Amino acid sequence: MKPQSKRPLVWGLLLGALLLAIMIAQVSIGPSDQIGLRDVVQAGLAKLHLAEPLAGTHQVIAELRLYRVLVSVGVGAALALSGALLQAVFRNQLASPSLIGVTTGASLGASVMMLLLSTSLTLTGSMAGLAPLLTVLAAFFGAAVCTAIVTAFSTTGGRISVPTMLLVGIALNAIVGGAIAAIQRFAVEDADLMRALLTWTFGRLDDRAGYQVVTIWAGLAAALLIIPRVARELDLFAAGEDDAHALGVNTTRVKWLALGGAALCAALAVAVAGQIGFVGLIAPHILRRLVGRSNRHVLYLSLLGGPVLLVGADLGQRLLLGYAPLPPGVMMSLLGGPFFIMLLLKNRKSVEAW
Amino acid sequence: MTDATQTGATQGEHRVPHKAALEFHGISFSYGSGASGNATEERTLIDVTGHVHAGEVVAIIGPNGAGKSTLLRLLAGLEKLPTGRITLQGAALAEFDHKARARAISLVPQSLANLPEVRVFDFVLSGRYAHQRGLSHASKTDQAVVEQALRDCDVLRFADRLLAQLSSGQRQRVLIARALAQAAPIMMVDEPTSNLDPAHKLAVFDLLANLASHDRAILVVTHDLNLASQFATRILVMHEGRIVAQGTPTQVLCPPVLTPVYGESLVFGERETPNGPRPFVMAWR
Repeated sequence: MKPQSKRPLVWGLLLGALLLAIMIAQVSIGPSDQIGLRDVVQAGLAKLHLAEPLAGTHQVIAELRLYRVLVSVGVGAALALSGALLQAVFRNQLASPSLIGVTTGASLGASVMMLLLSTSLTLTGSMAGLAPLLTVLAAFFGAAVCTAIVTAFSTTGGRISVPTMLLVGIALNAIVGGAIAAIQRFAVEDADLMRALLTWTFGRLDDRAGYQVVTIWAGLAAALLIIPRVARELDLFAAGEDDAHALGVNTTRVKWLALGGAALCAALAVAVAGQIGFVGLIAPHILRRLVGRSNRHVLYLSLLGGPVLLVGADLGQRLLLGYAPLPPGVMMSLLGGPFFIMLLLKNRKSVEAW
Repeated sequence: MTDATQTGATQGEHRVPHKAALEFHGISFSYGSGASGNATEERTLIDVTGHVHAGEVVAIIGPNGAGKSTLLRLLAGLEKLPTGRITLQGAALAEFDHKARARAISLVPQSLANLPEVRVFDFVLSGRYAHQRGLSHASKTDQAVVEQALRDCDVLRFADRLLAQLSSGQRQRVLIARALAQAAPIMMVDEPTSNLDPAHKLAVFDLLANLASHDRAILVVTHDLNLASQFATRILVMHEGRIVAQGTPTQVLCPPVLTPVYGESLVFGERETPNGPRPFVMAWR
């Protein structure tokens, strides 16, 4: 007899191939028909000083397409991993970074930092390079605080109350949303800052820069180190924290690592692309359907499933709506909201028992 | 099974020191003010001392709220110990890391906080966690140990079912199978028979006695005085956070010990068993 697995490797390869196809399609299409996959690859290589840059504006356009797809993939992976980690710790498929306030927390942290950077602190030349890093740190701080609040309120003695978790999430989203609006009120004089803040609320995947690519991928690499340290352990959380503890799991460490990783991923995504909801809710859910509930598979595959969902949906709406598509945050809300309701309806029995 | 007239103390003399398994001394404990206020008094443990050795089935009995489950949680390392000492083969339990502790002590919970959606085989395999290194997958040894544990608990035929598809008796045996797969010399069992019919109660205790005869130390919390009488080598009686009596079933299951603990409404008798006469106790108004 063997431990059960539902072909995670096969699904991994399929998702990987699908993602590659979506990425190629994504960089190949755009308002400028003269630029194709080959040009984007060459522009990327040129950026690394491995090839000649393209002529004139083509280099810039191709670079933008490359950054766009790399940031999108990174953000999709970070959001899905964040959601998968939260769902494993909270042992509930309704947990996700945007629903329980982690994303908004990150957003507030980053907004405050953007406001500080633009007003009180006039960055000198050498300090200006630190701005993106400071924004990520502030976003992480905001996400971590919100994660800690939700965790503290919804767990008592190792037991997790899902309704409390969701209600605290709603409250946090409202409070933090108000604070963000207040910041926007202060920023209303400063058109550039206002535009930047507003863009954030809707999420943004185009017009990304090289440092944002580096930020999200470096952060993802750090988060990747967490997975092997928590995956098997989180599977043992399924029957309760005490039970996992009795089996030899260092539950405190696993919880800290997993929640910290979830906060980091959500913060990275927000710092480079603004608020994009529901990826962290939907992607892990679909993956569990495909490969079973084991976190040893779901956590890794979310790194592929998240990007397939986010970039795939973005590609889909570009094909449907042309080159003036909805911002990604709006798009995911339109897709994810109904999905959330469907999840609630499907789990009606357990929801009514709350 | 050992002779009923033998006391725990004389048994201990026949055993080499390395088999002396778990000893606890002067344990006092109360849940912080965070715990439900009215029960705090009852849940407190006061200066609890005892031991369980390989080959023994030690039953902890006592009324609800006497502190039995709290003691089990402390001994299994689930709560931090404020005062007192717990030693495992002579070494302080607090010094063991998580996996080493789990390799020495397994805990069969009364029930699970959540019923995970896993197959019985995979659930029992989770008992092997403390034996697995970092990233390694289930080894051939792990799989063999799990199969043997399933066979020993007579649940091998359910290996492919989901946990939720089992009856409570079957699920109880699966919980014991997982603790068996943990391959720890000390097994703690929290009220294993509370949801079972008489036949399954006997089957579970038969299994525990059989494990003890294979040099495991079994510490079982139970409300069933008659199962304790038949299967325990020693019984600890807890009342209001203290151990008020301990000894063989004959020494403990008698009116002078139990009436102060459970009240007057008990009827005592005696029944011949292959191991000699054993007391039985009925609640009868």
